[in-house]
Amino acid sequence: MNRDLSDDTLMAAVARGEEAAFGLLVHRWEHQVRAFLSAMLGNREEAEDLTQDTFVKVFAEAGRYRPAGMFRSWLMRIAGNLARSRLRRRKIIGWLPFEPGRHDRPAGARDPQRELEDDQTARAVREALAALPERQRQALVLQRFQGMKYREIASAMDTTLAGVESLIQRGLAGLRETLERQGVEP
Amino acid sequence: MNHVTSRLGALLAEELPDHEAAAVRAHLDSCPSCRAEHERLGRTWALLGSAELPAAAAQAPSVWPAVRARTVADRSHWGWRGASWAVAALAGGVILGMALPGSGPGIGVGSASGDLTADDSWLESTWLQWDRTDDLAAGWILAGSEQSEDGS
Ligand SMILES: [Zn+2]
Repeated sequence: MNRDLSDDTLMAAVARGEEAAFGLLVHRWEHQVRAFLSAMLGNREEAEDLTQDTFVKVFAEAGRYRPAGMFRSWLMRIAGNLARSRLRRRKIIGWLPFEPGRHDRPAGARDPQRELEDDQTARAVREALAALPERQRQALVLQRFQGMKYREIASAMDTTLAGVESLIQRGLAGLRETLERQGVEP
Repeated sequence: MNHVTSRLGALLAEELPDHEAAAVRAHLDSCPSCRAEHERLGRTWALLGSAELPAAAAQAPSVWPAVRARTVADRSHWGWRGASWAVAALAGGVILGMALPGSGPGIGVGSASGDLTADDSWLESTWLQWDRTDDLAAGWILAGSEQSEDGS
């Protein structure tokens, strides 16, 4: 199958159940989905699970996809809904909570499932991200990690351009505050 | 003087229209307090960019084998898809003629999706229903979809 085919073309084939098209789409997008979910959830195993679930839903929903050149928004909307539903569940049953404020713990005492990163600064940024309200985090991650335009983010998050601007502005300010408090920022 | 702190995120993201960006920059030239804020936010913005994707995530093995097993390689996948359509139809209050005798899933599905995509809220509403009704719906649709599986 031609690797240059657009996402919209591939999705039409996926809607017909064509395996090659679906495989191509999964390989094309899985890293971005995994990175997004990893940043949203702060946990690699969960991100892996939900990356799978995201593509299973892509397949299940392919018949309803509208080809308008906005596949990435549609994909990230699915991944985002799964992430937020997982975060809600965590809150309810208290499973694997984010602990962004626990910097007094030695590194060895971290949850072993938690992603271990060599770079202290990157870790601090991720933990500061985790401390943000979900939607602020989601908007920032989509912009900064996925390189999405506000227009795409608005579509993925069911909000307006002004809504995206506000989420990113507040998220960025909150992030800076947390990082400065930790002494991460110069 | 109107400060521009609320526009700095959009400026950093390069999302301001040219004339607005020019106005914000002109203000920054003349306002030390906004300029300081811009510098601080700019550092955070850069840090966030550098924290991007951990190498481990980029090197993770593909999810494709697992996804394939749960979708195209799953004998019941047509039934499972039918379940999600049915759930969406119920959520939207739409009654669809699903799994019509003699029509392959591809055909039946095409028309159904055409109706449903008119509704912008389908995705969210599908989710809300999905978690609760997945197993049940998959069960009852599977029974009815066996006959149409040959049509694929
Ligand atoms: Zn000012």
